[in-house]
Amino acid sequence: MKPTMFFHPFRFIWPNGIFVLASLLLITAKLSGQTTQTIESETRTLQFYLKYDKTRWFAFHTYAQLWTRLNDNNPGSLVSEELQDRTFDISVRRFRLGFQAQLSERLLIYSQLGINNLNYLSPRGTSLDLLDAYAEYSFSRSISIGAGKTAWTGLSRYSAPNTSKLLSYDLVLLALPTDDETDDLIRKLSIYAKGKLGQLDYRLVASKPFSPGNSPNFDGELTENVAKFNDKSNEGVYSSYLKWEFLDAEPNDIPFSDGTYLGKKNVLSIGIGAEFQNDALSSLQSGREQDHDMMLWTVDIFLDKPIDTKKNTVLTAYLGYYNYDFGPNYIRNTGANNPIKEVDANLASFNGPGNAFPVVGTGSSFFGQAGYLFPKMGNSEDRGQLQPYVSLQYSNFERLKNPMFYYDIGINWLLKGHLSKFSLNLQNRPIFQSTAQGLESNDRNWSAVLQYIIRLE
Amino acid sequence: MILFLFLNSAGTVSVMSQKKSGNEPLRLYLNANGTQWLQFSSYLQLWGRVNENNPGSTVNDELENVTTDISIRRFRLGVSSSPWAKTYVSFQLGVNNLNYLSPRGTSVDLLDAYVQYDFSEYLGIGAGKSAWNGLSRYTSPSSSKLMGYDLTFVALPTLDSTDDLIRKLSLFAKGKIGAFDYRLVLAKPLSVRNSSSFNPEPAEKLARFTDNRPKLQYSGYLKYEFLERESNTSPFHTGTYLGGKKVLNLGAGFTFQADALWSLEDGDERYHDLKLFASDIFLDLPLGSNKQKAITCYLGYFNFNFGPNYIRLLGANNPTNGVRPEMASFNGRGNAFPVSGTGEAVFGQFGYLFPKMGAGGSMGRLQPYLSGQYSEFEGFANSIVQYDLGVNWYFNGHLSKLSFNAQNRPILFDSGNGLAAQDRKWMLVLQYQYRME
Repeated sequence: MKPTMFFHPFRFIWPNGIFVLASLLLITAKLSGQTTQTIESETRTLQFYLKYDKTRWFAFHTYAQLWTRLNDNNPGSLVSEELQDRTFDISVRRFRLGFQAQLSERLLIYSQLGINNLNYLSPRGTSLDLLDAYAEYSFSRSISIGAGKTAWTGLSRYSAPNTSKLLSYDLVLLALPTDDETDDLIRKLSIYAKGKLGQLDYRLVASKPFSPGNSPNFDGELTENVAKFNDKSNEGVYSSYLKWEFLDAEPNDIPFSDGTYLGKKNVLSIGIGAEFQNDALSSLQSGREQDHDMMLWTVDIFLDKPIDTKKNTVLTAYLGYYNYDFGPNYIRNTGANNPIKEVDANLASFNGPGNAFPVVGTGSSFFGQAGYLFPKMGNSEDRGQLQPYVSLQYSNFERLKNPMFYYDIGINWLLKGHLSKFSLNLQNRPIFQSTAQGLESNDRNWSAVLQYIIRLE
Repeated sequence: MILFLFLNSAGTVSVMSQKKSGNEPLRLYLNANGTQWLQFSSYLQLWGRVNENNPGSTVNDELENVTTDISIRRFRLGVSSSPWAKTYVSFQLGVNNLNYLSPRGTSVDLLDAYVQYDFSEYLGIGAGKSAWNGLSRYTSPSSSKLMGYDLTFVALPTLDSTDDLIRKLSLFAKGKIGAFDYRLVLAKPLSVRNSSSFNPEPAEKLARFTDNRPKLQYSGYLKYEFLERESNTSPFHTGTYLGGKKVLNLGAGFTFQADALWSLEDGDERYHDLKLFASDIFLDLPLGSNKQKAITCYLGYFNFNFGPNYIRLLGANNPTNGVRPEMASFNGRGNAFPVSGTGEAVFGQFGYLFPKMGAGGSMGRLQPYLSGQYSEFEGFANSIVQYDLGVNWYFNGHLSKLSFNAQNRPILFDSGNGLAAQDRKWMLVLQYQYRME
């Protein structure tokens, strides 16, 4: 099965039988996807071979995600003590510059610099951070071991999302429950094992969590019956994700899961995952300090099905169930690339400033996403493809009186697949207020984002 | 200083000889006909400097009259690409002013990250963090292809106030219609609170930037190209083409931001619009049949309204870190002086490029230049003048050059009938620059 190395350098040992079938499927998918790939193959990639047989190489990639946004701000949002109902801004949501190399038949290194949320409130001189730096040794297709600072993580499909190849304009924040608490932009310092056993794709990760004391959300004051991350836990974080691939196998050479293959693969995967950290959070129980374990588990299903291979139409769907226990009443408000940092305490909602809302907490949630890729537009000239999508999240969080429900309606205009695309997204989020009955959602706000992604690879 | 010069020129010889043997540009063609490409560029500007410090300047609380230092004025590492038709993307990392006072572990910042799409020659649009600015020619300066040793600061009136090293988060449109070249920019100004010179308190009859009312900033620049066309692929304007182009441009531009500044008028808060206007002329004229010589001239008129008495002090790559208030001038510490403010200013620059020296041109080319700025700012009792005298020694065009510059700046004190220049100081800079592209 040597030829497959060409596409996936790590898959060079294929066990017999059923795996041969799977690999044939993979090759068939490659061939059937050939028409769409021709245009791209005219352009050389930023991969440079170090050996004539192409088994050793290094490659660069870089991408930028630019946002223009109009946000209906949460109540009481302030800039310099002036109330701001609405904010229009332009920002760099993400910039990445990455380098990877297959140094020997078995050794892969991956490093990536990057920055998120470079917006008008960012400090001057926005420094580029080292996001990823890890090395991985492949024993066989069934097992590779790696270590370093990496986004290899378990829990769910989109806990390690490929941010430049998503279906939606941005991440599934629910799938990133420890983002910024014990992670640095999803990354942790970890040792991991991963591989494929037949149709089973697995990853097991043991991490030293970043100290929550360095998180901007950190609050060292314990609260009665509300769990918060503590900075005294000396425990590791353990996570895993197991996925059964019914149809085409997905690549597992990098941790990131694609949001849609745009017709290049026919995928149906069902996965389960979990994440655990002993005594990660603390609260007061009748005035006495008590620690709580973080116990998270999920189950999810992903479908990426080419409908008409000639016209390259694709149906993409994702559904995940997330059961999170962080300890009593834990809740997390997240405002992605927040255009507001301050809030007037007298007017404020529970959400906090800008575009924040409760996305993660102790309780159970469903997240669903569906999109449809329409045929190529334009006759003589390639006008790209349109892909409308919807996402929604329904959560029963212990802390909140009502369920939390938010949704996104959006459309992608793919000019060169994921390499050059526009996304227009409208997000509707609940605003929670503290009432006599508890935290209730009594209002909703919109956020509109027009994103352009350019990726060179 | 001499050692510095020697080391640098020794370094350049090898660069030169490599160039002569024919270096390929750092460009990777992505398709067969070369229309799709990816290019790396990097440059470095090293400064050796002797500065007569402003009165009362201190380094770590000790008075210092003269400071000699070595620093990295700029380092850049960029990737630009045209990965498919009509699309251009530019990413650039960089650091400025890495000097002996810089914090250890100097991080490289993301300066540029923008994408532009050309519908036609008439119209290209783009977005991201970029130096696409309006106002004047050198509001978007190509800092590694200047004639002067450093920037024209009067052309950078919002530098560090609403910019990050000239860059803004913006949407822009640009194009060429006949001999007209235009650019229009809509920017979300960076929050002035993160500026190192931010003062949150409004002052009586003295305008200061505020972000209480974060409005958008609009700017534009239109120039008429009488002779050869200049490239508008990147926003940056070249200071001199070294005889490679025959250019005569007349331009005009503006920047506007509502309620960008505030002050107190008899104790009442008053907001002021930022209203800046500039008009300029640029001439780069090769002389002689083989274009061995060239004259380069620039003249700009700047009419700035920031609100009452606004003055901007700027000390580029400032070599001191404190000032004793009882001895201090209005200038503040180190090499700072007033570069822009509410009022009018005229900036002029003139240079002459001599033919190649030595056998086969092996000794490079010399280009003496002088720059001067005359300003009448509302905040001052009298006009002020600043000038630069310098010479560039090009070993390999802008890719390897040495510049020596002597700058004379005014030192202002409160004379009783207002702020006025009462003294002058010098700053000597020897800069070596290499650029790879």
